[in-house]
Amino acid sequence: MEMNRRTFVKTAAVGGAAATVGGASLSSVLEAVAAPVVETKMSFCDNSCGHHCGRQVDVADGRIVAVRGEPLNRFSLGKLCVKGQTVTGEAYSPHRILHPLKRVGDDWVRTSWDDALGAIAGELRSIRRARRALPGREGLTDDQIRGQLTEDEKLAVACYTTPRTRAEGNTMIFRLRQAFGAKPHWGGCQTCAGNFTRAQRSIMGLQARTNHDVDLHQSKYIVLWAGNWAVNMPVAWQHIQAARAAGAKVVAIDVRKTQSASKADWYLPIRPGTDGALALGILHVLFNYKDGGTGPVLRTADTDPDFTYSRLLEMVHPDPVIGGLAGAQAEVDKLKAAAAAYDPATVESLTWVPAADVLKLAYEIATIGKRQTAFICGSGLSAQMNGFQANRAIQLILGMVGAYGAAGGGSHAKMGAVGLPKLPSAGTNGRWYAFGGSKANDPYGTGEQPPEKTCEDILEGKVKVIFSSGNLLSSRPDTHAHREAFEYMKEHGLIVHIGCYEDESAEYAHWILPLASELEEAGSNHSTGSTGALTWKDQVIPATGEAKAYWWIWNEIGHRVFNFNDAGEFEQELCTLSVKPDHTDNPEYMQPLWPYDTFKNGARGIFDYVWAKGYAAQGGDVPTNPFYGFQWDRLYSWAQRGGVLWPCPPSAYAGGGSPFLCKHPTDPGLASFSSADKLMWLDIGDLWEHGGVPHLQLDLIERPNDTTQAIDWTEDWPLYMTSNKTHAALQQWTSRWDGMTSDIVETVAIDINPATATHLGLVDGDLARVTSPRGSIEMRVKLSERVHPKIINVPPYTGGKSPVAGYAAPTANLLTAQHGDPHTEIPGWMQGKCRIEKVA
Amino acid sequence: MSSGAVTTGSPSASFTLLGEAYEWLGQAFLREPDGDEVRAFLDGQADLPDLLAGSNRRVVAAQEMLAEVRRDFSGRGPEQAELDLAALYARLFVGPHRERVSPYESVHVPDETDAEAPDSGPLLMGPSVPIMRALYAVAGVEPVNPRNLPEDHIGLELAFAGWLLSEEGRSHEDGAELLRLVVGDHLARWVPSFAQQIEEMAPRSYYAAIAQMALGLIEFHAGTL
Repeated sequence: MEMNRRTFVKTAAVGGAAATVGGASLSSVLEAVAAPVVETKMSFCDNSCGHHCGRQVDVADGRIVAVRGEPLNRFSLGKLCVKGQTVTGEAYSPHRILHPLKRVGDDWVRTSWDDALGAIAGELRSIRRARRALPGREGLTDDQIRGQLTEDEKLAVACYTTPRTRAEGNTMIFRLRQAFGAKPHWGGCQTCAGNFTRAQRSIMGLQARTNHDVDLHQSKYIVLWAGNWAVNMPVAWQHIQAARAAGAKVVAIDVRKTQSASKADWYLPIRPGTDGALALGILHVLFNYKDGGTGPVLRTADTDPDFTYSRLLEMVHPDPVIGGLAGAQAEVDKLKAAAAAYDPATVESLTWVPAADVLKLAYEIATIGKRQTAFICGSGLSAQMNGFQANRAIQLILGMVGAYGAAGGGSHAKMGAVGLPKLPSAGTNGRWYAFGGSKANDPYGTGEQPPEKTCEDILEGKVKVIFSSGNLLSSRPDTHAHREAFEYMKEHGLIVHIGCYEDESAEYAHWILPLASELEEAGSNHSTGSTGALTWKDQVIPATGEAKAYWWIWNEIGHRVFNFNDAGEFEQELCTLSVKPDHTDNPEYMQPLWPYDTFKNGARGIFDYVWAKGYAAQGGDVPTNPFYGFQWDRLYSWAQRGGVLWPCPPSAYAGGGSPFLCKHPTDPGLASFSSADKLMWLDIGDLWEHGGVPHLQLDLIERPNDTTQAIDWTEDWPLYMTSNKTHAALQQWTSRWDGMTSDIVETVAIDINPATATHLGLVDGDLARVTSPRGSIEMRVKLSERVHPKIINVPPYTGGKSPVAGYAAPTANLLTAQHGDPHTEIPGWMQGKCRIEKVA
Repeated sequence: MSSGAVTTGSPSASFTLLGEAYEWLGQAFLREPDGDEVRAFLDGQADLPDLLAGSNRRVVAAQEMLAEVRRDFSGRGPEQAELDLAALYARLFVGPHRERVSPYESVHVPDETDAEAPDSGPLLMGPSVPIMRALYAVAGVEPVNPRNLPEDHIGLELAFAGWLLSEEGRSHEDGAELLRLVVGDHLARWVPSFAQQIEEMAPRSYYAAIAQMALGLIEFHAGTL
């Protein structure tokens, strides 16, 4: 038994708690440990929903000892939901992976960062060498070769990431993708809100919601459409409660009587996948009925400037492509024609919403809400077969009543961000660059490729390297496709997994790189959240083990691929950014060439560069304390040149960790409607062929004529299956599994109506088997009047190999559709058809 | 048996040997064995010195288990054995598998510092971390810790106990009290859980054997404090 190394060495320094009582007795040192010096660090939550609630973290001796809401944050008002509160469990989970690992056969062994990064970069270098060696490419620069890449070559490197990383990490990922011509891949936002964002871009150019959630206080009529904020975003939910307390009427439309719906003034159950039809029904009423259903509600601008047909014209008027006002009129006429078929009786047959309620809803929007009508567009609207058109129709209702550009109006969605490409944070985030859609009839996408499409490419042998983050196998809508693809890549390609935790995806990887958790990484948020600001967040605690920040990992890979010792080569490849030449919204900080030092100096270097350039581009000076919050004058100056509707800091706001008073830069404020040169335009005719008809597509849910609410038990698939989001799902999605959250809030069970359960002989707590055309799972049932007898609700994303007992295997992801919205390819994972039976 | 084996049964020599055993066990849990160490194991040079080998029945059983493992490895050759042990190390202590054994004290010992707080389950970086940091600091030592492990790692705690039993450690003013704390208040409290989990996950394996060996020595030692 021989030692060849020493584990402890003498030190003169006395650190940690002992330092506070240097030279004191052992007992007093231990007393000091028991009562440590606590430092409160300002932070913001970066978990899942994108609201970035203000958060204070108490740190003692480098450890988290307490977490609480930041009371001065004007959005979160001192509140944190369970996701924000359990950040300790996230950072200190015993399921963290703390060291790089490499696969050896069916096993893994711990390795060094140098070993891992060197091997990964070597693979990328060989792809690069092979491209350069092809005939006709001799002597060309990488940039020139990039322009010649075939579609198949662009698929060789696939980078999945999660949007909850710091902006600086995303910058590096984006640039490395660019260097290989790789398509960006969806983050989680696409799966839950991709149809919403596309719909909004198609109408008004903004990628996300138009009004901040604090603005809900000014709303008169709030429609919570297929979202369950009371559970999933309770911090934002408080603003709905406040609005209701102030007299606003809250209406919930959902396939399931969610906790939010149960708190609403009016709950409207709806048949899955038919929200677009209901929206067109409302438009039909607004175009054709008046009070009480006896005549036209809509008047001209001459009679009612707040609620006018011309308000919709105003939205489309600036577009030169469609011929100014005449063109706009034509587009609105198309909309009217599209809505013509959706009279209330037809809508009732399609949606199960009684015709009288369709009329009542439209009437109340027009008379109670008017411009102060706010729509909260939940994930259930977006993650459905008709997501794109349903969201377009819904948002056009707001246009009809003039609720865009109005305080208390507008649309709200999952994302905490406002998609203003002029914000300096956009400069760090590749998502804002114009790409064009991933396919011809998806012009409102940002070029991101659906992961399910990449699965097909993988099986065709086109993908050589996958960088995966988050637990794709259990969190993406199509678990089957990902399992098959990852199994293929395990044998024929290279999988690099970058993550915090053990999960099913990691188990396929050849290399596993430990990622720093949220509080262990410094940087700015890629989008503006509750502060409406480009917000820098210091590292709150040191990284545990050998975990590293996203930015660091990608920077190190980049250096190794593009000649670590040659700043010129690195600069050319990673500091050069190809953007569309007609992308006119590129201020200076988004220009192609960034100095090499910008990257060399780490996350803060990028942030400082972007910030400085952003200010310079706006003609201002760099403020001395720029790191929290835009100043009033800056935001106002932008408002003058196009307009933003966003609460902003008061003029006296000096910066700091807390945001600002709610205030609008103009009164009432105008949203920024982008011009047509970015393909973001209302073009009702071309993309309206389904017109919100419940386009219940393909094999999983094709029953457009099955409008009866009765169950035909002789059918193979007699029931609808819906799904929803859970806290555990949100956490797992973002590469940050947090078992503590699941333990606290989750009860995984199938919701089934008691009448249906009785027919099947099921009682509360029974184990049942749900089968869809894609597979079967077993899960306990919970009898609930919250769901229609013809609908069962199966929770998603709680399966895979999550480390929490009871969360293995069953998940809606094994049952849901292969197919997505026909325009966007976004999977309609929140709906399907199924049968259910008791497990003996 | 190593060159450090003793022929005397003096208490001082026993402490030295126990310290060396702690240090060896600490290193064995801190990192995968390298080629030389694997060869030493396969050659039977990793056994405890005679003076410690019979400390108690658990240690005796652990020695037997280790010999059994060695026999199992005999046909593999050093390189394969090194790889197999590295893979077992990763599977038990690093990941990415869902089932593994945390080598950190705070995961095994519930945080009782805030009785009002909801049960958060076992976490890394619990209260044992600042305590161990303080104990190291009081002793005037710091761990060689290139992998940035939390300071309550089994390997660091064992090696610290080993240092405290070294001549240098024994001469430290608070050495005896520090030893009582690290062995009695820490190692003795959680290594039973640690060793049991390894036995459940990788029964009669190399790491099950040395975990039992560590536990046996701790139990033996704690009885003398």
